[in-house]
Amino acid sequence: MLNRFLRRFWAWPSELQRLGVLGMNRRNAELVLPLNPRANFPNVDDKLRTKSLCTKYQIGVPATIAVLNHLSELKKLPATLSACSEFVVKPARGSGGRGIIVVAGRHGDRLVTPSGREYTEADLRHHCAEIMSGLYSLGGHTDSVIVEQRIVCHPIFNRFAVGGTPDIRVIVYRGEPAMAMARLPTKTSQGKANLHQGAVAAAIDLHSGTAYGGVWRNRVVTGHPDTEASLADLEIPHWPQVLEYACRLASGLGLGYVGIDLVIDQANGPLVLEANARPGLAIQLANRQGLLIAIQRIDAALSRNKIRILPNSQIA
Amino acid sequence: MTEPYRRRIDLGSISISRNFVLLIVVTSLLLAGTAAMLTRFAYDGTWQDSRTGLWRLDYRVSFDAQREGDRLQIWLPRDNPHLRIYRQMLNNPDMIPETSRSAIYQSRLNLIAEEAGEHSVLATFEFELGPDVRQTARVSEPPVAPADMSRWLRSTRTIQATSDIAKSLVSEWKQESALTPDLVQRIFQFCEQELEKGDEAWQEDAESTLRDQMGTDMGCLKAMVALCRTALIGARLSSGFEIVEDGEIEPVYWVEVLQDGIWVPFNPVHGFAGKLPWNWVKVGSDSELVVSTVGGEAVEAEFLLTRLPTQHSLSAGNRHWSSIFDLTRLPRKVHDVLSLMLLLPLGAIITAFFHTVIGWRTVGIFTPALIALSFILADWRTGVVVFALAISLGMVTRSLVEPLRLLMVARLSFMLTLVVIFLVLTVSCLDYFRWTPSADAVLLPIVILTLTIEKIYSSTIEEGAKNTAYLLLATIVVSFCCYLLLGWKSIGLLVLHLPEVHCFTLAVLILLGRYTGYRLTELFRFRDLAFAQVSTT
Repeated sequence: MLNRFLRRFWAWPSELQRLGVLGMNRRNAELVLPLNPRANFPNVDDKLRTKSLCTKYQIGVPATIAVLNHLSELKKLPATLSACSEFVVKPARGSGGRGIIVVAGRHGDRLVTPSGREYTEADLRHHCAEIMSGLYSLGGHTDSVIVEQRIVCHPIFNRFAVGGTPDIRVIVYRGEPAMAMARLPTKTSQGKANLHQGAVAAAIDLHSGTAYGGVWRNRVVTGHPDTEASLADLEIPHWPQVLEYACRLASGLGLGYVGIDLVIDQANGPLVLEANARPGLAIQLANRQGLLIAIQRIDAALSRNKIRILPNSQIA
Repeated sequence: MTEPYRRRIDLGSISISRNFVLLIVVTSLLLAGTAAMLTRFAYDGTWQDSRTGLWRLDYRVSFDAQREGDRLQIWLPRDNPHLRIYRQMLNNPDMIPETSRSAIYQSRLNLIAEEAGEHSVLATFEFELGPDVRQTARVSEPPVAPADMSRWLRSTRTIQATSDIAKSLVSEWKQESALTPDLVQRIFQFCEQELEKGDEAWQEDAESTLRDQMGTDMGCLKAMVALCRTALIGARLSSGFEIVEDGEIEPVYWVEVLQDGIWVPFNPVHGFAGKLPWNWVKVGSDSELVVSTVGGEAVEAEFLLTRLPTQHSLSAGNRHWSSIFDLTRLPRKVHDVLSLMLLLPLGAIITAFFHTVIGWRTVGIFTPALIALSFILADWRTGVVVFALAISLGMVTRSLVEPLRLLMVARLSFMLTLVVIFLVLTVSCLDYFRWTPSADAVLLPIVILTLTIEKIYSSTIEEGAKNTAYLLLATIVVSFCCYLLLGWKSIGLLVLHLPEVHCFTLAVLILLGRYTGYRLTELFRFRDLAFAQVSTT
């Protein structure tokens, strides 16, 4: 009884080891350091480079409307966007969703976000200037502005996402998918697909692409907390293509252990949003399974087939 | 173990196990550190305790003589097994020294004023101190003559050997054992354990201290002397100096009890008995004052201790390469800076431990260690208050600045300027209102403070107030741990005298860097996985 009570507060290392749970230290020392060469980090830190690689490897990405590198180019921005009523402005080297503005329509001269907030064109130009000056970039370096198409979420997610666009995280290890989850925005997360801020993590079965359970605020859930839709009913559309894109991009990036974030667009299907060279460990909680088991399974399979994937060799 | 994580390192045609290389590196560092320390030990013949070595003690005494012939009495240090005086100077214009004829007062210098008026005396002693200085001159106090015994048994105004309370206590203890050693031991135990020691407002004479069972440090010492004398055991107060570090020092006192014709030291306040600590230098016997007058008035005495360069650095011909590691040979004024620099890696170990083993994130990697160092340099209480104020003010200002949409470099510079203005004004205010003895108390690491404000602000926006509170709490806890370790004086002295201990620091950091086990926070984070497993099985 006491033992059962204590287990509510912590797990013993031997138990986590047995379950194949990957810890942060081991992830860094045995996966990130040996498999992800530092020289290839710019491939994921810079979204323009990621996009370029996606294009090279025929992987779907949101269409780029404009890229602004210099302040002088801001003058042309209104003309460039005059034909667009829906678009997204984001920093090329941003992180954590900072600096992204989603424009869902126009109200006269003003640009309107999905939440109803309005921006003038002058506001937008100022925001772009901030992005270029490095306000949102990693390390505060000068940055570029990406203006790209706005994702229109696949209708299947209507019951599973509130106020934002859900995304799918696929962990790719040595070119093979190891684990996947869908991050579903909630009212608590204010439309963001960020688990720390209260989004739901739904485990996705790699073979079928269907959800089989989830975690919300580190607790097991079976349904979406706002819509109460059963997570088991969620089946990711275009699943084989999602996996194909993730694996192809991982090889293209030259990273052996990487998290690929994708969205399912209503018209264009799977599109890659970004990649992460140090993907978090919360995916294990969502899947209720340790990553090491999947990793060992992949190692064994690759060893049997005598396949040797060298991440560095994938890129010329 | 994942497959691509290679256990071996290829060096051309040779393949070496990674763990073997790690073992070699760590062992080499440990051996190098040990070898360096042993080399110095072999050369110096002693571990460089900070208290050993050469010192100078200055007496600066000013004395207002009322008339010609007024005397100034100064107790001076003498050679003993732990101390060898190799130079002494006395500058006493207008005063005539008089040698004491009594053996008891051999170390007391009497100076007689030639005329009324103000006189100043400067006495300087340069001496070598160590646990075993081995000076050849045999130093011993002459045996106590029976005629002198009455002096050590007398009752005085503040050492009331004939008080009822003293008699009652001694008579009770004598019933347990009348043997002198047992009685002395019982008296010492009583004074050490049952007398409460307090500040200057408490009793300072023996009778009141015994009656109230509380008194000042001096009151407790006098109580012990009184109890010994009541038991007809010779006892006296002795005074001296504790040699620890540079600066102005105050005399220290203890009790000497006559046992088998030998004066045995006891100190119920500092808790030693039978042997005087080797760095306690005796100067006076049977006196509460190191400097006193007969006839004169207004004596002011100041005692200044200065560490001198070590013996080896005195003679160029006696140099040994191992003295490169002896940082004490460098000018004393840089010792504190060097000590703090050498402490920083220990702060890094603590931070690395919390990151890697506990799993706590902090605001900046070395911020906790730097904050702890700044508190060590200054008064930590004021430092903590000023730090909290600076962070609060910074956060408020940062949120006010946000609508201005300043670019990052300009914004950080703005915050830096604000922090500088705040700290400088705080220094000025503290000085103006005399709230702190030192303006250093608020000289926090300004850049670190600025970046901390920025990091906390962005963390609040990006990760929410709850996560930021955890981050801040973790930073405070790690800073506190750093403060405890880095503020430990012995550690500071150790790294200054044995900088080669950082070979061990490097070894520990390598081992921490190779730790791939679970962090403690992960045992909590992933507890549901294990619990679900247990539930289903």
